[in-house]
Amino acid sequence: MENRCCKHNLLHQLKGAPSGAAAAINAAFETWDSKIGDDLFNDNFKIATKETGSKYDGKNVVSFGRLGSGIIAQTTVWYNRYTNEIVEFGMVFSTAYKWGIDSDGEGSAYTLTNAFDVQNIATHEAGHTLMLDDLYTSAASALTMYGYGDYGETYARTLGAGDISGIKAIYP
Amino acid sequence: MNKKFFSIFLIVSTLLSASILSGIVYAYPDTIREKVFTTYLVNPIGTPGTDSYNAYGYSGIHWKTGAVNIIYYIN
Repeated sequence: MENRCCKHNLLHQLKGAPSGAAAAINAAFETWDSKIGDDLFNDNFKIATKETGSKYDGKNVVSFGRLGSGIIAQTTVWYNRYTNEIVEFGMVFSTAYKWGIDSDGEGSAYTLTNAFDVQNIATHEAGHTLMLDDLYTSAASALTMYGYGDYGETYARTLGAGDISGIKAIYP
Repeated sequence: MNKKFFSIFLIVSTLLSASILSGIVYAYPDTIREKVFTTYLVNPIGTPGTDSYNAYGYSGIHWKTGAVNIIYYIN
């Protein structure tokens, strides 16, 4: 009972993140997990207070922090160059922008004004942790792995045919 | 006799562990590479088109599936 209390409180203490961000980020990872045969990402993620997603420290960290101008988010993957196996990832959401949760997931309803939907961007970034790269052609603009993001968008929460083909190619 | 043997064993094993550890620490940075993905803010290009394009993997780099259960931390 005490743990539930404390965890709940910590969720509201995430620096730069809106309330409910942790659940939204977890949902983003689960979106990809549902397309992979193995249950890759642990559902029981941990809430941290000091770790940052920008350094190699033996932990897979998602954090909110400073990034360069025009950058919404950045994901870094560290891997073993001999075995090609990933050993760690780090993910940072820029605190230079506003973040929110689109309650109904329908971007067209413009629930968010001048803010990014956490789950939308997190689903895209989670694709990077699996080594899917950005796509920049206008024909790919409906895919989760489209390399640009905008305020209020939620379409990236749902994987497109190309995203699923990509993940199936890496994890058949 | 046993005490003396145990002391020698302890010293040898400590030295051996230290040398192995230093070897790992020295080798580790050269083994690990990093790939950074950056997502930019840009207005969407027109109306979203077909989603028939494939995303692609990066040089076959992957998680060790079936053995790894990734725990992540959210700050």
